[in-house]
Amino acid sequence: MSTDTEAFLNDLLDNRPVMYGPDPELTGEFRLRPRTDREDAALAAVTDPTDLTVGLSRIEAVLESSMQMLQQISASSAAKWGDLIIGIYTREGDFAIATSGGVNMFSATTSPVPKFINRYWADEPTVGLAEGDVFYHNDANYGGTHNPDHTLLLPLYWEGEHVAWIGAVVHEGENGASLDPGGFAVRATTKYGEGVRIPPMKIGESHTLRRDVVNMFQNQVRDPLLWLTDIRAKLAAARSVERRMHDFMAERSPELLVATLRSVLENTETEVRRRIAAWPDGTYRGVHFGDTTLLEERLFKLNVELDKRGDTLTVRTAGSSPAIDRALNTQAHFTRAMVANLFMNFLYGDLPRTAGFIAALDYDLEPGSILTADTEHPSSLSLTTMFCLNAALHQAVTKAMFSAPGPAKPMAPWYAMIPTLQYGGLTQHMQVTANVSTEMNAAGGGARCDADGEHAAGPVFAPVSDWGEMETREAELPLLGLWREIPADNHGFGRYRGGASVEWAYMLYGSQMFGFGITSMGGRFPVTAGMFGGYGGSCTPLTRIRPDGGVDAVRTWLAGGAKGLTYDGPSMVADQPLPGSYEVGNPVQPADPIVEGDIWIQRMGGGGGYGDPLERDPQEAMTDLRRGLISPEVARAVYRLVWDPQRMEVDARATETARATERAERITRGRGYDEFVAGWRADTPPEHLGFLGSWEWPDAAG
Amino acid sequence: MSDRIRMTEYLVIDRTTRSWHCERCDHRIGPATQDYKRGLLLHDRDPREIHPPRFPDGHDVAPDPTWCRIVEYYCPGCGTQVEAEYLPPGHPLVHDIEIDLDALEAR
Repeated sequence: MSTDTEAFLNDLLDNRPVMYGPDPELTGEFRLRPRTDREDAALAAVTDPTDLTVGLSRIEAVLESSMQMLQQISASSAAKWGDLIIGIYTREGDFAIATSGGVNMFSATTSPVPKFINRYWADEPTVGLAEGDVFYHNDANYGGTHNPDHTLLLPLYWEGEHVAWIGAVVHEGENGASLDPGGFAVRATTKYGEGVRIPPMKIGESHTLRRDVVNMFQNQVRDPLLWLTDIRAKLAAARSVERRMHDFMAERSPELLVATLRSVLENTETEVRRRIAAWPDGTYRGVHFGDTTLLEERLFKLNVELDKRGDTLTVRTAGSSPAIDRALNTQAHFTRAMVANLFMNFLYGDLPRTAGFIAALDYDLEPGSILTADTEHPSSLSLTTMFCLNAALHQAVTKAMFSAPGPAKPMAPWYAMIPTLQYGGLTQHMQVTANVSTEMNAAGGGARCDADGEHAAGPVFAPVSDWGEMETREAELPLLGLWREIPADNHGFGRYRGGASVEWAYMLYGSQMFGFGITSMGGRFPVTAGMFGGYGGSCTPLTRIRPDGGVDAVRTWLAGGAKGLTYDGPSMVADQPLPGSYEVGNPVQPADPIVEGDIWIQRMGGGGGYGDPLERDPQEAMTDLRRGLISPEVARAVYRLVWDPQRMEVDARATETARATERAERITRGRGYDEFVAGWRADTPPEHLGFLGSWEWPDAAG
Repeated sequence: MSDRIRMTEYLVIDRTTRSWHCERCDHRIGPATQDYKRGLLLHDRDPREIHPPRFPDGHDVAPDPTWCRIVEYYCPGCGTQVEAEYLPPGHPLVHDIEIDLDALEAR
């Protein structure tokens, strides 16, 4: 073998892999990178610590205004109402400062993306890294949450030195999945059915997009205008941050920028650890279940065990269901981000959103589970599993932190699921579109230890967001909104009740070529748990009406005064004021073409209740009844309320008597632990559940 | 200084006697070295009694009782509902809190 040939082969084997696939070392990294010499020098150059506070405030202000700009100019309906983030990463790639609104858990899960670019592309002669380069990414195997979340990155330079990364992340509503429009590939059984997968790659130079590359992306999706608009929008927002960071460095110094980023990361990690240290040492567990794999009704399990010692909190997930060939798998880095989401949005919202949150915890995530899928598994609906994890995690964390002093208030779990329309087709304006609707942002808030939950407050992943107007939907899509109403008994009951959400009804109107889908859970097993004796939320089935005579029959019915229209799904099904077929089913339906005039009715879920419902202030329960938040059945059976039905006023004395009677009956009907377990415990799960994975839980007392 | 620490909305640990107590009525639930649930009264609740059904059959706003049960835990002293656990029928109950009592004593 000649020297040249040997060198060629060595180069091929050692330095030229067939493909630069996801790097498990990078996606598995959750600690902060060690301080660099540059960061040490920058921190040493800051003599007045107040400057770091000023730096943080100024950077946050820049990010917030740029995010608002991105919301305005983006085409993604999700971005318009808050499903986005803008932030700055250190040069090494740790996400240092993010906007306080939007999906701030992106700050916990996108750091592997700039780290990948640093490791593989910066010194690669055919790619390289220079000021003005534009990078893009959506493949969740390389970092991030799921493929609809797209990240655009700009390296931030100052006088030839690469000092940081700027990122703009937006949930894009169409990804080119083979069967399902709207970004959520509900029918995918491999990752190859989930549409475009973009590893971290350069898509432009000198702040200019390569149109041939963008064109290739557009060619893979149903809504090429959405992609073009939003890549440009993200670039514009990132450039806005870049310009203002240049102003910052010119006015102050690049050292202050580098020092601020580093100090925010370190301070957040230190502060989270300090607060955790105040929690009582011990082991805390939570469990929750999902009731569909998206293609069939099967029960799967999410186990959480927290081991807390000193300032170390280890999150374990052993016993959770195994990864499967359905799109609800999630990667471990998203699982860690969901933990961070709870901490940054529901416990310590006073701290900056940074990668310091995930760095403050430890993780022992069992490989091969639905929470730690490998790179071949489909995962575009990983968020549905994350929501079920959130219910288990929330309960365990709340029990762990309850007795600790500090800013975090115990509360019941938020409603965490997305029973919202995903759609695609031809609009009434003859435009091709595919996206998701933002009713998902109308989730009911969990009850707090001292107050009821907020109605239709925001999704668990972006509490500062909006769900938009029905009229906006009608203007852009071939839809007629029939109602949005808060239904009775939609929330969790308790001493403090959860916030309710809304039931909506849309009819396809103005297009013959349009499809709806819904990708959610909670048709048989509720997705929201209660807290400390409070009850969880109700289930949220999907109702589909296909009127006889189609849209013409509906038009006639509406023009005639819509006799029998109750603005309520269950009574519409019971009364059937429009002749036709009525079907109530699981809130999981792939997006297929439907018939003009078809009506879909769906409700978002309510938040969990907190505390024993018998402790609810009778006047407050009476107010719930008057307002239609609860039905008379719930008022009687759950709150033991006694009232005058004519005057709709509570009888406080009779209520107290009824509650005392119920408390006594609880003691009579309750069984001792061993007796109960003997009658309760099953060695194997009921066959009809199609249960996935381990039924046993070795550490469970029962 | 109090020897009692409130651990949850309804549970207190007495560090002197190392025992769980009801926060509302002070009933001694049991030794804090073991699962507090062993000292409570349990009831298997059909979820339709709490979440009233609204649809004629099949999927409903009420959880399916063959998929989901609510295990209610009551204080034997006062009848307060301490926990309400949503589980598939027959699933092992959750041992949700194990406190390190030595560490708690040292706080």
